[in-house]
Amino acid sequence: MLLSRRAKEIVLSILLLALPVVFLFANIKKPHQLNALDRVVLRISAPVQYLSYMIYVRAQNVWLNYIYLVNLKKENDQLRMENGVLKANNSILEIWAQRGREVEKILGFKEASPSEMIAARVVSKSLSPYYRVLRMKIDRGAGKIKINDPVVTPEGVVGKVHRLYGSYADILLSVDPRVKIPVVVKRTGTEALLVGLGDEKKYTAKLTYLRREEEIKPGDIVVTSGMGGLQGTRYPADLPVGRVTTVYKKQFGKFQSAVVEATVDFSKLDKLLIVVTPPPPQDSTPPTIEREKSLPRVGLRPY
Amino acid sequence: MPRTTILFIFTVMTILLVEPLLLAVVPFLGTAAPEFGLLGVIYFAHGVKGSPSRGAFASLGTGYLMDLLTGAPVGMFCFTYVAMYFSIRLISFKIYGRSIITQSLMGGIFSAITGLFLVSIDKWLNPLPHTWALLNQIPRQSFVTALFSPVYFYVLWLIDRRLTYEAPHEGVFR
Repeated sequence: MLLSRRAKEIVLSILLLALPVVFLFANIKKPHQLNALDRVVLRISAPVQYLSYMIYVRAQNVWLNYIYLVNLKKENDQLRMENGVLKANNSILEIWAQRGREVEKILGFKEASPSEMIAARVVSKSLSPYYRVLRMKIDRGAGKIKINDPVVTPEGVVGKVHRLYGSYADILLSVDPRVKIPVVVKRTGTEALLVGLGDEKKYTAKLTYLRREEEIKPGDIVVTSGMGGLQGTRYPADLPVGRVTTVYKKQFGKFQSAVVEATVDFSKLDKLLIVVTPPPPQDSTPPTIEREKSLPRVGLRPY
Repeated sequence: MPRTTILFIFTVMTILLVEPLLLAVVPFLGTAAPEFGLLGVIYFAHGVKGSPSRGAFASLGTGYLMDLLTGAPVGMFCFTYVAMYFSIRLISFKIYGRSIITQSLMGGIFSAITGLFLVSIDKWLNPLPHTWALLNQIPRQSFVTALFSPVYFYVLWLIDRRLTYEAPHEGVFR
């Protein structure tokens, strides 16, 4: 039976509305999984976005390095002076570092983090404020990176790898409500769970499962606890995450909460480091209930 | 080449090339950025008369690209944009979009509805704490989109007029 033109349009319109619903229900549980078509589109689009971003970076470099040179001499003199002070401070710190290394050696600590880090560059900022995702280009070693690997900068935690396609990847920022990070308040040693708030202008997150009896103050530094396994991401310990701005303490209940402002300014990110998480050690013996009980608890301990 | 296809290709190129550049250069309100994809959908629905399925296909394509570029679960923007396309198409005869102010208002209002739609679907399908906090983004996002609406509609109309025969010569949304 032949359908009229109008009927065909109606059927097609219903199909076009239904198709995304099918996509959505198929993807909602595992949004990081991409099919072949998704990967092809992303691989084609990423270099185009990168090109656009590079045009901006080059233009900015030309402007800042060759045209906009006001106050350069004054700044140079000031920097020379600061450099002298820093050199003096550095030599003092070198002595302290040497002493620290000796102490570490005596105590048997590891000298450096066992994690390998891979460098990456930001390709595009988040296109929608409803999803805190950055796109990055991985310079070398893209094959070693896995989904959920932590992304950091020397200033602190940035987020985790959300999607991977070739030498490009999407990062879910630590202020996204989908990201949870086990943290410690540095001053008190209190463990808590950091969950993104989605307040984009201030880049804030919330400290949850924070025991009520702990005295948390605005200004306290929050760092990663190094405990892991949560959402498959294990952040290296002692990385700065943010600073407490507000504490919410009720008269009842087991927990208090606090708002934390991120140490990293996500709007100015350029170069990033991806922490390639080492695989857990292989154990050939099958787990038993007694053995599992004897193992140290890994993860967040709210009680 | 059909009108919608040309306009769709232009919208895709704008999302890929202009939007990252604008985000890097212009100090917007936080990460709020003009939703060129949505503005394209409004133009397909209100500016291009003819087969609705062609416009819906273009909206689906734009939504799919936005899903991939923003990190949203695939289908989120696809569904929202197609739904927006049909909604605008249905009320198209009641929308007056000839002046700059009404075009701005149109961009802002539809951006707010899209934002509300996205956050609600996200909350419904994937309940997470603080998802409703994303509602705070809607006013800023709508404002920035509203600012860019008349300019982008005008550029779309210019391309439409140059490359196709069916486009009205009197102005945008005539």
